[in-house]
Amino acid sequence: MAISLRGTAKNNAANAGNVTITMPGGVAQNDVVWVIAVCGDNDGVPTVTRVTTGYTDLSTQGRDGSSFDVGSMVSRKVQGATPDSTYEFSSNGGTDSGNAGCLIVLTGVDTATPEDATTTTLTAANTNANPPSISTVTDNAWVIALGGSGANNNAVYSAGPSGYSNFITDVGLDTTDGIAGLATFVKTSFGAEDPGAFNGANDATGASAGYSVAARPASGAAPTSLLFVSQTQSPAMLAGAMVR
Amino acid sequence: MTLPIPYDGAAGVKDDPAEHEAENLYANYRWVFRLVNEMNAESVLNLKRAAQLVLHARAFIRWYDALKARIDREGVSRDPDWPFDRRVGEVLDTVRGVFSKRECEWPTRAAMAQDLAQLRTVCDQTHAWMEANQAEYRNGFTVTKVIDADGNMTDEAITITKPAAFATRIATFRALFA
Repeated sequence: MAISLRGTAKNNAANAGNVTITMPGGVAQNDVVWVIAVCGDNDGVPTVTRVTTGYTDLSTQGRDGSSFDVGSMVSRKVQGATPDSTYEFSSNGGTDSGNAGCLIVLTGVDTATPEDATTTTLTAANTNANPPSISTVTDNAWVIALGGSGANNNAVYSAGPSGYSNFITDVGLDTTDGIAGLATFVKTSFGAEDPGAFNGANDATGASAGYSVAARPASGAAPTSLLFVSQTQSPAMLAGAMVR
Repeated sequence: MTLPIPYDGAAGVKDDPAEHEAENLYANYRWVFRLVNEMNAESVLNLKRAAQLVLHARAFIRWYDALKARIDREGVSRDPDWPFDRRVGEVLDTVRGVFSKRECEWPTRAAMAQDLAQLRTVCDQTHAWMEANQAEYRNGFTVTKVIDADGNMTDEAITITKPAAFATRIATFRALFA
């Protein structure tokens, strides 16, 4: 079964206010939601805290910039029989901090193992979030590139990684803006995929965190990657292992 | 023919906050309808949905009131969040555009304004009634945690017998929509 997009949503708040993102109206049981929550601050790396329950937190990343810092979190939930209608997070940024969040709802995802690979991350002391390479093991997995930045230039990401679709972004405007974004790519043949950077929020005094997530399509088949025997093993060693 | 100039077609221009508020208004309008529709059809009262309905009814009011404050300034005083003078009807046009692109259409701007004002009133009455008479909705989010066969932790909503008074109220609410 192929993965398809149910919808995306976003929201923001100034003054480190709680952000409540309203789900796309069609979210249904067994849809899988991935979300990035971001806080921009200038007093050190802020902490982002998920308020909505039932999510698995895949990774939490933060970075000090030379002037502006970022705290972020990526989480995931398989929706139950009564789907959530909102996602909410808070942060410990001060009244000069901006919060922003983006989420994506996919259908056709393997609900037993929603991720096709371990989430990869990369932080940087600049604001163009750069999700790193991730290696899928199943054909037609979706790579979701997620980015979060702390900056002070009233900018948003102008574009997602090159070649990516379903790009959305939002920004909580304040002394330090919190910028969030995501975009997707269908990796038709399993293997390594390097999304590249989000574009537009050019601020060398800020900081960013990039995440790459791989969504596994639902199917009855096992992952399609092959297990290679090490070339350094001798035939005798292999023969001994087979006998045992 | 000359093309209209987009307000955000220049470096450094921020998005109109009224657009953000209109998007949020629609998002909560959508969920108010979905929840009222589902709860009206169900034979039981799903407490998670009840809690969601209270949340989205109140959120609809919040975003409605924010937009109403901007509308009331049009032609009277400058919107403090917007560097340009707003013409009368500008914010309602923004709201209408947000709803129209999702195929929620009204014959006129005035008809839309009237209906949204009525919905605000009903949302206010509904959440107040639920807080007074169905306060067990507060347990709707303290749902039973379920670890399913796949190892995912999800939630199972608590359901109770649907009280007749609630059934009547939700049916009336549902009837507001076409």
